[in-house]
Amino acid sequence: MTDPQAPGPTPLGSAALGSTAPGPAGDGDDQPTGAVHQFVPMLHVGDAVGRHTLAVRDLLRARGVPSEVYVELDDPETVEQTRPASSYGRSARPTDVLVYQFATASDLVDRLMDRPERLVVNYHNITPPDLFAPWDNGLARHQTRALQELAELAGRATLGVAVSEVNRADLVRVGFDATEVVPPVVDLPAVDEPGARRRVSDGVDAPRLQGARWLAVGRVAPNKAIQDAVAALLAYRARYDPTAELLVVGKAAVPAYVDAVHRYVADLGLVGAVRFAGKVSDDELAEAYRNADVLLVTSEHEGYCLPVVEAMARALPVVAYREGALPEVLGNAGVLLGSKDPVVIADAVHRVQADEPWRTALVNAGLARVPDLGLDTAGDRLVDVLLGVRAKAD
Amino acid sequence: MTDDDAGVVGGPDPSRRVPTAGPPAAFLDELAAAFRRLSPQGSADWNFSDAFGRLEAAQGDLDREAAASKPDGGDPGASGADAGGGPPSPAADEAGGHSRSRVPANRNPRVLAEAWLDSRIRSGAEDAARRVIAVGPVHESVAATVEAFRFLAARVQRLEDAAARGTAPIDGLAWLVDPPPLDRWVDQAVLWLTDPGPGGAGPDGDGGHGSIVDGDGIGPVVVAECGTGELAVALGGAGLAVRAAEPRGTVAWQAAEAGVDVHVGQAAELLEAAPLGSLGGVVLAGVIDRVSLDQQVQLLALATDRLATGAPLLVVGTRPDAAVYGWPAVARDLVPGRPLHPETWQLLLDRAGYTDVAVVDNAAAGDTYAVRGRR
Repeated sequence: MTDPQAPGPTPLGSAALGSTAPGPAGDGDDQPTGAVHQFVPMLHVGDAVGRHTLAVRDLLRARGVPSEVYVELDDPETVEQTRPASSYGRSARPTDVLVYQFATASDLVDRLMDRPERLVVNYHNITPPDLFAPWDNGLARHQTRALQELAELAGRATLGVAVSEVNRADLVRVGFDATEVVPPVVDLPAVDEPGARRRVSDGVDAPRLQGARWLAVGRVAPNKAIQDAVAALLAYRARYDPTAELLVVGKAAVPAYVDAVHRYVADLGLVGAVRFAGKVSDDELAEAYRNADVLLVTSEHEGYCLPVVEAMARALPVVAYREGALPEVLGNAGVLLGSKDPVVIADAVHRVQADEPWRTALVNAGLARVPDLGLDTAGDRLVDVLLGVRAKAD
Repeated sequence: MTDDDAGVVGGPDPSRRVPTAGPPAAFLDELAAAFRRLSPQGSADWNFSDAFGRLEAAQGDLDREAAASKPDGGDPGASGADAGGGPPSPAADEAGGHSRSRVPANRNPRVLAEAWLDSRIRSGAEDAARRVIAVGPVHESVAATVEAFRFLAARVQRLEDAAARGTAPIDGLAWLVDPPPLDRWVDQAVLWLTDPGPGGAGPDGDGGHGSIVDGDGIGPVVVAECGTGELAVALGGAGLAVRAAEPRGTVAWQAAEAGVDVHVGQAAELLEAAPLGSLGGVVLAGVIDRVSLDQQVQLLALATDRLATGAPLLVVGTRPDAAVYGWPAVARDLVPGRPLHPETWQLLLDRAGYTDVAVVDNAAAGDTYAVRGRR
């Protein structure tokens, strides 16, 4: 997932990133060519951007390229793996390539704009401010600022790397001249790994016609439109299965929105039928996928939507609203809806549950789709792109 | 994959289609609206961010106007040095030797205005001073207004957060108390709500409220709350236009499937939305059993304001002893109100100016009762 983080950390002050002049000595000083360093406001090990950043760093290092992660603010969980952005100037080399992991607004932008090194923007998406406006004006303002910063970076960056074509369109729209599309770097479960996927071929894990378990994965935030999944569950219980349940897995991200979803669930009489697991561990997430009958995505905006890939890799059918990168990621391997009518969603899920050949076709299409997305090679592709930029800087 | 705007389902086999049917589309809109009402701002149609956007768009227009006024008509900041004051553009240095002001040129109206003024003076344009006098202060005022809105938005956000914490009702309170069985009151309600009244009196003195309901500009009968819709359906079957409120989503769904035009929300919301003196009748049921005395009185006042002159009111309640002993422990602890006795409703209706106030006979009433009155 590439959702925005919370509003950005406080500015570092005028000394951030140090002097624009390269320092006299640094980590990469004995290297024949420059380093490729990444900048991110905060490095969270539990989110998609954080994992992507660390994976890219490791791949760069594996190829002998000096690479560090510089942050504006420390996360206690990752502080041992990062350096303060203010310290970069001391080790800077003119041939360095700086990679900005862009998912939200940050004071890092102004600092990076002042640096002379080549800059690559790795763009993970900005959720439109309008989606936050009714729930959190501060966050909406933050997203507005992020849009402005992306436009500023367009004139500064050597290259923009988007994780999807939808995201690339954002880059082109704000003026990036050179763009590439490389999917996010993620670890997916091996489909042959025991317990990694639902068993469908031997009929052991046939879908439940009663007590169906829906799964929604993602931060509980307005762009995820969890309320539409709740309304669809209401329709499904009224029409097909009064014991169906929805499990929402993801961090409670926007308090006013989270409160409203909880109240909506209560008003609709779905307390107990809709459960909120919050942020979970990898093992718990895997368990949630294994226990579910369908992944439902009702998002109003998705820059990539990794849960769809995770579900397909685990042989879990996907029903999704056609928005953002969903058509690009899901392809023909899931059910795409052009409407959020709760009855339409309920009917689609019922079809997936009740029509075994259809379900099997979806599962098989999903399993076949995952390799086509190229996520297993995304890291190497991104590193190739970055090294290409570095070669021009040398 | 296949799909279309009508919501047809697609997948690996596009020939497979799922037929859809269900409650009317209007009900699904109601369901969505019920969620939107939980937003702190109530609506995405108007909000501070929208205001920011409009102001900043206006500022952008002014920026472009100022830029277009420069001798080269170029992009602000793109040739700032030539324009005499603007900072150099990042794009101007393609060799990687970027230099850039910390404040982007296109964000700073003062820099723009000064650059524009500078260029005008140098070009000898006679109207430069006049134009910058016009544009400069507007830039400044727009920027100041944006900042003021930001400050105000932050304050409002904090107040909203505090208010949400302090006054949020208990989630799903309506589910703690069963609604009265309105099906027992169908015959009496239809009789009363279609009764033209003494002498057939209506608002113009020439017809009963039955003709009011069907007549010029008079709104529907409101049933609040409607439960699964039996009474509302019966009233509709008797020729009345009926609008209903039901806060329990699942119950409202059943009412909608039965054909009731139902608002998924509180009775007060539906009554407040009606114009003064417009309703052809009101049934108060369910909600009056569980809300506080203040809210009961407010609901009656709302109904009174919205009813057309001569239109009927029916209050269907649960006898207090039966209700309190019948409620589960959690309801007894959390529900802020308790049902009133029928005599109390008679008194309240009398005091509110209703006529023809009486307790309605019903041998099948069980633990429920009804009190009628005419506005």
